[in-house]
Formats: sequence, structure tokens, C-alpha cells
Amino acid sequence: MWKWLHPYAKTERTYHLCQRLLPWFCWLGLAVILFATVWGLAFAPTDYQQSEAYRIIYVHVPSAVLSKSLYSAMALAAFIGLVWQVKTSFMAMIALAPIGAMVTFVSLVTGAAWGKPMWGTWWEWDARLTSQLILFFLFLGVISLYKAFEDKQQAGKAAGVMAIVGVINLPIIHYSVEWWNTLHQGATIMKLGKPSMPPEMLWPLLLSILGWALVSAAIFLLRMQNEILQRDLKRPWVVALANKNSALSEGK
Amino acid sequence: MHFEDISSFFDMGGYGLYVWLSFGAAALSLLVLWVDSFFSKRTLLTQVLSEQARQARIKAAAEQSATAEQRTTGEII
Repeated sequence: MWKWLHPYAKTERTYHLCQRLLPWFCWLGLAVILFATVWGLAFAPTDYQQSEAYRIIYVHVPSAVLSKSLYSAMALAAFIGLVWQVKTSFMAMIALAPIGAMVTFVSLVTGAAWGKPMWGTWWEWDARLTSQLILFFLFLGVISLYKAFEDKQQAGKAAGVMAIVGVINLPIIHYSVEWWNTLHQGATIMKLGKPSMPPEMLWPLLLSILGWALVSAAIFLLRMQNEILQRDLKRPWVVALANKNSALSEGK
Repeated sequence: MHFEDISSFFDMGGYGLYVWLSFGAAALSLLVLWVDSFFSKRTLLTQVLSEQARQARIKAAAEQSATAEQRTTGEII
């Protein structure tokens, strides 16, 4: 693993790798997310119990799934950074944190908007909702802890420890619907065996999860570049890059 | 298409407010984060250029004062 990771520990190479991948993730993500959303909103069949309100699933589930995946990715980056002392790993961690905070926020807002017509309340202090809110605060905690340190290596270590400790919340979120009596329904697709959903509803849902993942990846690449630029602001390669960029935009 | 006309599409079987609130909030959040990431990259690159220009000015000023000093010392001698 060290051999595979080593070239990307060099910030300049990582920057150019992000630059190459960015348009692909960007346009593919936008296309998939639009296609899946339109499919889910306008073409998928209606639900016999919840009628059209169930369509919130096409934005609630992708954001909720992504919130946990992004947290795992962030904690993994923190772990690599702490154990192998890879500088770029902490940058990846802090590039992921705002994206995770955003999708968690979306899952909470869409959950509230779904809860109001179905449960009759915007918010309930129940296990699933509360643990998801804690996940949101964990993301915010990692961001603010990282910002609190002037020395970014120190900041990465402190925020990294917090990210790893917070992993305990992930199984709590996942099993909260089984461990406690909760308003929130049990798992529909993320479970062993067959998903309890007809394929014409399931396909747009799976596609929208993919779309959200691709768009999150695109934003991650962009934020990763920003972190690298911030760190290497005075390096010759960044100065050369900035000059090349301004020459390109003047030429247009 | 599942809906008969455009108004029933917007109405969402009476749940229009909740459905469109969800999708609107999601779209807005994604957009805000994207715009923030995009423009901070731009700001960083212009910051590099202005720092470069500042360094060039400092260097030019230092050279100018050096030559001026040389001239004055030359006159005294």
C-alpha cells in the first residue's frame, strides 16, 4: 500500500490527478443525478400507502447513505494520516468534511419534510433522527477543530482523532431502527436478501444514489485541489500554475 | 410519464409543499457547496498572482534604493 500511495503523497501530482478526473466526475455526476431525479419525480409509479409524498425518498435516501459513506471515508483518511503520516491524507479528510456536513444536513431537512405529512411532526427526539443529528455535529466538530489550529499538521492530527472516535456513531445510526422503538421505518434496500421494493421504484433510487456519489466525488476533487493550493501557496509550481491559468483566461 | 398534466405534477397529490421543499433544499445545498468550492479555487489562484506582483514590487524598490544609495555615496566621495 505504501508503494501505491507514495506518488500521491506528492501534492503536485495529486493536484494534476484531481484536475484530470474532475470533468469526468462533474459531467457524469450531473447527468446521472438529473436523470435519476426526473425519473423518480415524474416517471416512477406512485406508492399505494404514501401516494406522491414517497418521492422524497429519491433525495432523502441518497443523502442519508452518502452521509455515512462520507463519514467512513473521512475517518479512513484520518486513520491513514495518523498512522502513516501521509500529509495529503489529512487534506483529503478536511476536503470531505464539508461535503459530509452538507449531505447530512440535506438528509435531516428532507427527513423533516417527509416526517411532517407522514408522522405529523417535523422533528422527534427519536433514535435514528438524534443519531443522524449527532453525525451532523461530528462533521461540524471536525471542521471547527481543524480550523482552530494554526499549524495544519497539528490540526490534522487533532481533527483526525475526533473523526476516528466518531466512527462509533455509524453502527448506532444503522441499527437504531432495530435497537429502539422508533418512528423511522426499517431498512428497505440496505439489507441482506431481496430489497422490498419493486424494480421500477428501485432503479431510479439506485441511480440517484450513484448520482449523489459522483457529484460528491466531484466536489471532493475540487476541495482537495483547494487544500493543496492553500498549503503550497508559495511553492514555484503553484506560482507557475497561477500564471498559466491567468494567461489562459486572458487569451479567451 | 406518471402524471396527467403539469399542474398535477406540481401538486404531487397534495404533498407538493413537502416534496418540492425537499428537492429544493437538496439542490440549493449542492449548489452552494459547489459555488463555494469553485470560487475559493479562483480566489487562491489570484492570491498567488497578487503575492507574486508584490514580491516583484519589493524587489524593484530594493534595487532602486540600492542604486540611489550608490549615487549619493559616489557624490560624497
